[in-house]
Amino acid sequence: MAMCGLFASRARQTALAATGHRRFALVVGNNSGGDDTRPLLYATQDARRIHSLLTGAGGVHPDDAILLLDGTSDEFWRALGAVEAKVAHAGQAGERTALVVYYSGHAKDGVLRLGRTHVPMADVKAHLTAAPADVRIGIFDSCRSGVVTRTKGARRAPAFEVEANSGAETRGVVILTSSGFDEDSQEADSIGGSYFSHHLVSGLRGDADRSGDKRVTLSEAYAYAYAHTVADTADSAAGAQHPTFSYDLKGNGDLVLTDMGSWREGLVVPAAAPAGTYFVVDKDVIVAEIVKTTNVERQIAVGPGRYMIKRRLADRLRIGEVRISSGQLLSLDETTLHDAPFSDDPVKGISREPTSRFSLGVAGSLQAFFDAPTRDGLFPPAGLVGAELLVRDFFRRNWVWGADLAFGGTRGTLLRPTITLPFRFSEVALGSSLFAEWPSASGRVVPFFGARVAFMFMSRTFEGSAIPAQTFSTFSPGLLGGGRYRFSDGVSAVARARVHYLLYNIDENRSLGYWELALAMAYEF
Amino acid sequence: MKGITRVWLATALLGACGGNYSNEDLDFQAALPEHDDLVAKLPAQALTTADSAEYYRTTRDVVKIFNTVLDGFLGLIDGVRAYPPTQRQPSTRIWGPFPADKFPDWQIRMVMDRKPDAAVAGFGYHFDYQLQVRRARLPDAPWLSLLTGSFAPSGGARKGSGQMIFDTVAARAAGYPLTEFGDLQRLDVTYQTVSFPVTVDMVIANRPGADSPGATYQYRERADGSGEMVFAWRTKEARSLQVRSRWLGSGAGRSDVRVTEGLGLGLGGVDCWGIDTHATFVRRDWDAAANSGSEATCAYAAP
Repeated sequence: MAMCGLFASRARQTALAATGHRRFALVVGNNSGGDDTRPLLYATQDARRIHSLLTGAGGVHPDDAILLLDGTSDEFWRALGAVEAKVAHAGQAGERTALVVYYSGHAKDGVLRLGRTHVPMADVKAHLTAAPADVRIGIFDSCRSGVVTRTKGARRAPAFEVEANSGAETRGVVILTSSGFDEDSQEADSIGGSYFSHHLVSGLRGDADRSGDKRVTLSEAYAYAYAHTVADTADSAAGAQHPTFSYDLKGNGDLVLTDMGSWREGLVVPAAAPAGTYFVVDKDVIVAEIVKTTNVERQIAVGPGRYMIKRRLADRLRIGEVRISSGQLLSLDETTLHDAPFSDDPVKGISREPTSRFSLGVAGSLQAFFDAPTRDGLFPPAGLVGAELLVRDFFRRNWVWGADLAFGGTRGTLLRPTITLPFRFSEVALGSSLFAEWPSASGRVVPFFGARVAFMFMSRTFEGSAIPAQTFSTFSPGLLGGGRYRFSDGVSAVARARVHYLLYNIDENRSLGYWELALAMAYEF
Repeated sequence: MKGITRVWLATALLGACGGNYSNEDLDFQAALPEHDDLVAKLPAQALTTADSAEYYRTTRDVVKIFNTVLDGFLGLIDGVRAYPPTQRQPSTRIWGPFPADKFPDWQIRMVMDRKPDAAVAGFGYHFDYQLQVRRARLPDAPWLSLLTGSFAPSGGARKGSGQMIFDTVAARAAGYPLTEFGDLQRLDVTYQTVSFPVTVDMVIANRPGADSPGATYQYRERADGSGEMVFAWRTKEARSLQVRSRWLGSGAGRSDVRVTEGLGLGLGGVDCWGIDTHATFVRRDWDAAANSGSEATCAYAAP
């Protein structure tokens, strides 16, 4: 029945691009939903994938798309206002326009949760309804997102059929949600994202093209995402997840969302290839699925790169590697695949632990010992500069492990009862830190606290004297704390304090302590 | 294998701990005299030319020998001081033992002690040190002191009084090679740098049968750059000669030479020179024809 509906709509569809719609997109992803929610793992990753797809095969010019990651409600409204202004400007210029708003993140009690800030879903829906675009599409991948489609016209069905109304231009609002009003939206490590967004992307890349015309319409994409999401979550602990839609579209018919025919790169599974489900794997994660039936050619849009192809048989895998060059539409050659046991499955999935992220920073610091005689006669206050490499979420989420190297020094004069010695003090410190971070709701401000151990090498040379240079090296444990402010997704400013213990054991055993204040800039990658 | 690597790495890092970062060491090292503390200094602008006064050139030669001898013995100390102490005890530092330079059959070490001394005002201690040698293959043999010294601090940078004695008798008897020191049997250096005039006295005693039984040097250095060197030596023919040279910071000076024992007893000579080191007054008791100038031009009066 669903397929009948799809094929019926296919005959009446009209490609937005073909009919001259200029497309705009606001893509929002936020892993954080505030204090009372567990952070999502892949919401921002889903948003990146959707953004990449829309600005590729989706026909949205990059200048007409905004990607907002881990933003606040204020930033959401500003971004929506900005994209609406562009839409309005294009409309005033006589262009036909389409606006896509995608959100992946937490939602609860009828509001989208952007960190600790809230955006009422009703307000977003009202904006979409009133937006100046001819066609407005809202896609919400969040828990209980079906609440936005609970009003009149909402459906939880495997597909919808677009009614033709010849002679009128396509206008209206379509809203897709990833789950029902009482359902959770689920993520999966094996696909590195949410089920719904994964299948939506996979479908839009071409696998949802049931008609075989190398175009994926809105209804095809929804039907595909619905079927695969329900199938994949049917046996999950959280229960089956049912995407919903709300459809108020009038005009010439269905909307073409992606057009593989005009896309430069992709993979073609020729008609003669064996039937089955082909998985396209990039870096251990499935990025697209192709359900191939007998004697039917399938095509998906994927960017240039090297991919593993996997087809699962009853007793073994067929796997192989393909390399798609820029501008190449590669036809899969079955002979390049080979048999492999299930243990060689290239889909490792993303580990249950969060993905580690690296950060490289430079820091300037001031260091001084608490004990005045030590400062005056042994280790003078010194400035240091250094670099540090951090790995976030390596041991567990919000834990940071890092290594740092700093060097510096100063000049001074040592006053001893029998001699006055000008000297040059130098220090090299190699440290390793482990600390926990507590990101704020917005993710901008991140306080942290933890421990560090450093290997310190200090030396002083006496200028104009025959007395040889002196050195001291030791391990020094300590505590650290501070705050990080994220200017953007990658750049942070860090203010940090350290307190360390040091055992000096040359002249005598002395327990010493020193503090260190530092400012740093870090880039996360 | 990985476990062994980790253990090795941990051991290496732990072994890297420590060092010689010590203020106490500095106190010990500062008690050892340095070159600039003791060497005699003639005015830098006084240059020796072919026309320089004869006794001025003699004075320079005496100062040069004085400094060379001092450098020879201070070099022994510097050779040890260039390294951090090998052993630290509350009032003792030991450097070495090291293989003796040029004589691998011998070991050398320096031992320094800080000893209570109520006579040293403001500090209450003085330092004693010995540079000692021993045959390398006889680790149980007693150490033989080649150079002994002491230093009593008196406040300020490296200020104080000290003594340094280089005694070859025991070392020669044990077979330690001292050929580069010729007939030297003992050298005594006594100095004080507490206040001006800085004084450095050196007594050289040669072995019996040497060409000269020995010599003495008495150096005085004043704050205004003026100085004095009294040099006396005796020949094996029992003839003694004394040279007393004095100079101003400007370079002008006077030298009095006198036979104090043996043939020519009482004879003497005088040279005075200006800032250009040229003679302004010359008197030779044994050669009146060589006399010239007026003694009124001399920077100093007759002693």
